[in-house]
Amino acid sequence: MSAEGSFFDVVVVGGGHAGCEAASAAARMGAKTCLVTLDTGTVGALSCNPAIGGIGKGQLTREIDALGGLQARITDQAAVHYRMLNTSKGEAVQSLRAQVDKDIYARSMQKRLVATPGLTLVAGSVEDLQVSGGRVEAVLLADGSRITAARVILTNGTFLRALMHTGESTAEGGRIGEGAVTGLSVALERLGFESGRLKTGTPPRLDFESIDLSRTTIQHPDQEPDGFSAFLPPPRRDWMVCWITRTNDATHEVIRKNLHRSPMYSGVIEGIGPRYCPSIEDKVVRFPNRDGHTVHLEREGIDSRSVYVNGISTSLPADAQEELVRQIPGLEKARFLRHGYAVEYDFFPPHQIRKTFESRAVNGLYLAGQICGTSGYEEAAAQGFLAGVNAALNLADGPPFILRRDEAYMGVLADDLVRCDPREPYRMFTSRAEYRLMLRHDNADLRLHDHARSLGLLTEAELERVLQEKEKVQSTLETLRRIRIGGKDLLSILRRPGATFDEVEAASPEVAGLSLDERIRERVRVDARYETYIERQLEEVRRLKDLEEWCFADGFDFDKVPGLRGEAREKLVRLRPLTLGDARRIAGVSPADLSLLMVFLSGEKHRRKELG
Amino acid sequence: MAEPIVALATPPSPAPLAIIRLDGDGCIEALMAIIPQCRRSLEARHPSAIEILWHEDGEAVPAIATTFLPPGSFTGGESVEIVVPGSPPIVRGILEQFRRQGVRPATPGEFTRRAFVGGKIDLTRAESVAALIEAEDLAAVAAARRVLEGELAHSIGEIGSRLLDLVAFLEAGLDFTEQEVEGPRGEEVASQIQGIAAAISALLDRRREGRAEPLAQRILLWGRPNAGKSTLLNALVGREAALTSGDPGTTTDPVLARVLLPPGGEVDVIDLAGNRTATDAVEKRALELSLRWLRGGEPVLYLLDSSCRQEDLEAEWHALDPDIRRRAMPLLTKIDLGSAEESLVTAFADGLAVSALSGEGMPELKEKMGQWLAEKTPTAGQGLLFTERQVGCLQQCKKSLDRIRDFLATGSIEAELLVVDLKQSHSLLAEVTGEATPERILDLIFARFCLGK
Repeated sequence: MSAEGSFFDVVVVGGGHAGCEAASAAARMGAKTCLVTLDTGTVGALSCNPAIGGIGKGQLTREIDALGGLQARITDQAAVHYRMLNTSKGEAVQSLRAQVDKDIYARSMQKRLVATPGLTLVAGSVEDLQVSGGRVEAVLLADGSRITAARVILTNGTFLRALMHTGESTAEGGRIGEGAVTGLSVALERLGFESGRLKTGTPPRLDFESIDLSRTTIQHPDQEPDGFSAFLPPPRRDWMVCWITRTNDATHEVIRKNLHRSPMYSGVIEGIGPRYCPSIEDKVVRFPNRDGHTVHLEREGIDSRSVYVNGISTSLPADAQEELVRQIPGLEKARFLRHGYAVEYDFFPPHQIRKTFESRAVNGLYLAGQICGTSGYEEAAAQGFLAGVNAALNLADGPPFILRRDEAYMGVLADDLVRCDPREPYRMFTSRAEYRLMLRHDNADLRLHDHARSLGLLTEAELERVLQEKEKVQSTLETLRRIRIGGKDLLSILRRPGATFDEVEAASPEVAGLSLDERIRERVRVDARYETYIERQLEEVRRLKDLEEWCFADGFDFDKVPGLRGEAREKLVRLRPLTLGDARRIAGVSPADLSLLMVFLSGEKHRRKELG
Repeated sequence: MAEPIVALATPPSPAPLAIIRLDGDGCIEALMAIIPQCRRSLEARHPSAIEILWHEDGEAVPAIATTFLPPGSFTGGESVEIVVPGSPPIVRGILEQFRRQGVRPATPGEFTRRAFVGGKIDLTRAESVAALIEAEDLAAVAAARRVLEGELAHSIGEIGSRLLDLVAFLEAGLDFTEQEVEGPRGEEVASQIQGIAAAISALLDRRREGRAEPLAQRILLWGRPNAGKSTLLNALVGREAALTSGDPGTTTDPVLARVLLPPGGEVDVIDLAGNRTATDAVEKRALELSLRWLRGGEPVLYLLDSSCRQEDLEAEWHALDPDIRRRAMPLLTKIDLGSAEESLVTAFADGLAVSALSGEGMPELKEKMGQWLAEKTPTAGQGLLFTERQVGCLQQCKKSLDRIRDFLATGSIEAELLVVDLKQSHSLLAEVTGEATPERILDLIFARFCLGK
């Protein structure tokens, strides 16, 4: 379909996880939306591992779902293997992870987007932006066509000035078999954006038929998973297993011998890769004493022969990759369907965006996903969703949609990003969320219900179901707090380690009389477990709230504030916090610096928080 | 609810008077708790004469307190202003009493901040307060730098790192189980916490050593009864400050007098009851009182009667409590009696010998006292910067670690909850050194573990 000469409220550039959520949310909120992507056939593709969720990330997926986004629903349609992680730990740090069929995932996403009223998909490469009076007006495509846009959301992922490296050979492109985009980086730099370089990598894909499974260990999925979405019935189908094997000294020897041929180590790659998802070269160099590293073998789909070799992301030359893989038990005769490679790409440090994901420099221009220096499907989807929602709200002159750190992982993500100067791709961890005891994956739907209602992306029936459950949980908690047995209220009895809901029901006929279903009982039990800690954290939230009321005006000059220490001044000037609360979270800003800022602000004509 | 806070509102140097300010819910109640003589409630906005506790033994000093109820105070909340004697030990003692009542030391600018939040300060006043705070903070920055270069900051930093290491270790076990990272075991955590709490205790102990104030210098006079302490005191001040007689044990209560030292310094000299085994209740009480002063860490002039036998004097000197002896300077008295042997004067290294009656050796003694005090004064950058607020933070941190250890002893606490408690402890420590970044925890994790699939 051609969009030449047409007008859209929102143009989304890129069809990855960020782009899909952005386009879907904006269109469903009433904006006439166009998604432009290099190839509409790869919309919704999982470029790297065939899995959604994981620790810290599964929480994001559940939150997107709670607000009406797509990722959880599509995952549940495409999942082939679910595992709840960290089950030996507390509920606040447990997360769901799903292995998915990549084809089904992408096709389900495409089907969903095509069926969305008000959303148009266009194949093309956006190479330039038209900006007038500090506001974006249109995007220009490589073929010379122009699409007028009131709001533009850039979700280019790893495609900007992208270079792929396999050993000594380098090719332009952001994903195997696809090209790169050059013009857009130039356009953004021309508009005053600061850019940086990051790197990511992907492991080899092997032919399933060539693997000797007898030399590996089977990892079984959970038998009766809940699934990700709160709005779909628990998925039930024939689950797939995956397999575990391990690298060894012989593997490591091959890597050491070839290290000088890895672009990362020979200095060819300028970008910085993540520490938490390192290449096998990195692992061997940084941890020379480890005698082996775990390798997960994950099939990329039900009918696919392609196996994702999770754990050996590499950019070594093809011959070295083959040699090292053959040292791993079970992979001695493995056939390569594709070699591993590293991608190096442009990103735009996210201190240049607001918490609405609108850029500070150009009105109406939003950035979301890997272009902001993050990594991960879930992080990308969360940003895309927030950018799409905010672009649509902004068009309708609505208030911005900003989640606080104590409300959602999505709030932590947005808040971290605007103060972030990433040296490596940003990834979510539960330890980034100081209020993680409240922000659990098990309560995402209840916790975000009010926001979901105001956004209106869920159906009335879906909202109603969540509301009923929320009220049920709350009234049960009240009841348990009220009833006392032996001088103790039932809630504190339920809080004891190892206590079960059955005990409480046995102790109180009134509670037994409620005949609660298992889902509610479980929710109440988990809430009870964390209650005292959550109260303490809420107190802290209230204490710090004062600070959020103190805002720095646009263009506030931190150099004018006397007495700040050098390090604090430098950070403040660079990261431009919006409120004293933001300033407090910047490393290097001390309580004394905060006092000075507060006093100085009072002398300025400070205005109430101008959100976004 | 505003947490009760307390701070000294006047500069922390000796002055006739000092002002202590409190703010927050319950601060009047905290005041009432440490003025036990006062039975009726204090009338708001009305200065009342009170006796306020400054020592754990129940010693009180006169003070004037004014209470303010919302909204008629500086901050708009419940608050108290107390005018107290300006002696630093007394001020410190009173602040400590408030801390025991659960009143936390205020952070810099916190009163002003509350006043803003309470809408009690207009912009012009705010700006003048701003100028004040700024000056204060610049001094604080300079002080902090000295601390940063000093041993104290090093120790606090080290303890902070140990806490963060433990947090990182626990966090790694939560966030990276997929990558085969195992968190620490319960007993490992318990022993780590034990070690960290002990390190904080050690640090708090060190603060007591460096407690002498450079500006409020005192020397204690001690020795056997009738060694001539009171006579020496009178000779030093040039008037009859203390009652003297030939009978041992004339002095029972400590007598304080200010002595001028060349070239213009001042020192408070305190004459204490003599060093002997108590035989009755009054003597016992006098000795206890003397020992309490002696335990305060201040320099001691130990008087030795030169008319006694050398062996006896040496035995007496060596029988002194080592902690007191370390701070003491021996002084031979009554040399006018002419019985002192040359060997006796040389036996005590400093060779100080005086006759308070004839004045022989007195100028040398005063000069020596001046030098000696200069030596004993702690150098800036050590104990002095160990402020009330910092002590408060450390004590709270220690308390919270003790609580965690008690929890662990009961058998089960889960890592994600433990981390909340430990981070809270760390943020109390971080308030001392001013560093608190969640990013650092991740950095520590990455430095230590091999992560990634």
